[in-house]
Amino acid sequence: MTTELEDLLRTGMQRHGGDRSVPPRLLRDAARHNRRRRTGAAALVATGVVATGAAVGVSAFNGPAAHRASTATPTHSSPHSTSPRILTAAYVASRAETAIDASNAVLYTRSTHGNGVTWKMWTDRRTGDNLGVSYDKAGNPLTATLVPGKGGRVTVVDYQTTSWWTYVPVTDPQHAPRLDPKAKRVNLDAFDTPAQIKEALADGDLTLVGQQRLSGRNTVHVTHTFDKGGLRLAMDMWIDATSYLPVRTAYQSPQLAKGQRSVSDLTWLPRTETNLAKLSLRIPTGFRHLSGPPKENLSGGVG
Amino acid sequence: MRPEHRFDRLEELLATRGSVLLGAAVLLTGGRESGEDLLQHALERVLRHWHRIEGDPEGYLRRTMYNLATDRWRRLGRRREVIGPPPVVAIADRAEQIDLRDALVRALAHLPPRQRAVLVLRYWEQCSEAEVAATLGCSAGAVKSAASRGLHRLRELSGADLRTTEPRIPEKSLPEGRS
Repeated sequence: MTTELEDLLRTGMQRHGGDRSVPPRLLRDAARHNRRRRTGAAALVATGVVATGAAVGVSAFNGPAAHRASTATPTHSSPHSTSPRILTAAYVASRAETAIDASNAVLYTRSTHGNGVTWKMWTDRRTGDNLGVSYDKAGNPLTATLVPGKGGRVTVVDYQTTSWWTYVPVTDPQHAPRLDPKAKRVNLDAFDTPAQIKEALADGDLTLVGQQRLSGRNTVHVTHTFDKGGLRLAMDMWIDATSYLPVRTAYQSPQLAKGQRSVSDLTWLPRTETNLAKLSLRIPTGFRHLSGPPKENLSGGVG
Repeated sequence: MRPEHRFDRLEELLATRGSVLLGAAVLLTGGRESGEDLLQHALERVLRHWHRIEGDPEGYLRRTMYNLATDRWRRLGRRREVIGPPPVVAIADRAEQIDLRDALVRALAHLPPRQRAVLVLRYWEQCSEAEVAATLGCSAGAVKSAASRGLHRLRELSGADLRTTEPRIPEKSLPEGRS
């Protein structure tokens, strides 16, 4: 029965889909739209420069306090700005994905969560090596985790128990180790890694909010909305208008109390020896070496 | 090199394989106009990354088009067209079989995008399960499952169509993208 159905479907498709020549205008139009996108990016950068000039002018007029305000927090550009009209969210997403892929930088990410925990992460974009250190409200380190990009043993330092250990992570994501339960990082679902950001960008459900000033630079603000656990959630992202690398994400996780957000600032550092050295993890003198992860601290992985 | 010469390979590809790709786009979207839109959208993507594409761009264009059809195209909320009568083709066949074929193709528009993409790859592009899996970036098992569900659903829909001449639109469609 299925075979007959398959045959009918096959021949039906041939009747409907066959003998369709591609209009020559298709490639022409695609190339023209592609060029228009590039022009749009150039226009955005150009108008961004104008906006910068305008912001500086206002700051100078209103004094230092106004200048601090204009650089410390995102400020919406004029609604009459011309650049958002020629930009699309899809274009910004595509440029950002390309920029992330092409980046060889040492990525420094500082994330703050509503529970008071701060994370500092350094990632070598070339090798994938990653060092993450969590801090409590007072700024004391809680844990540090060094994950080699090419696999191998993960090193964890627990500053509270003054101990350290290594383990081989399991590859099955269902049984992946949950590190640092004190920091509750895994459940927070912050958007602070290039992979997470790229996934959000590729998801397609993006809205272009507009051009904004953020910490003295011109950025494009986009919002990614998605469904999770029956909730409609949103993640805001600010993308540098020149390099198209994301510089900030802000996310209201359902794990956090109302009004609290996970905010991650991303700095794409040049790949210098000094910056690469930030990825080294030094075990403090006197820390106990455990043969494997303590059961209460880690599930999954092989010690 | 003049700018227009940069896309010579793409022009050649469209000249030789364009009708197959456009046919797939029409079947994926349910209409000629939206099919052309989909193919053009995929071409724009290819052009955007043209400097990074080496070798034959057909695989890249095909993957892009199917991914757009199953993901972004759906999210962008493109208007779904209903496939109209096919061009008149002289095929000696029983009228009821032709009706059933048309009903099957029209019913295709009511499947979730993923199932539709799997069936178009399997029965229009004649791809193996492994090739479908590679194009859509999923496992062969997922392809097999989506094809089986899609065919089952088509049988239901076209069966109703034979009695009513128009495919019956399911009262409650399956969740989009689920396969």
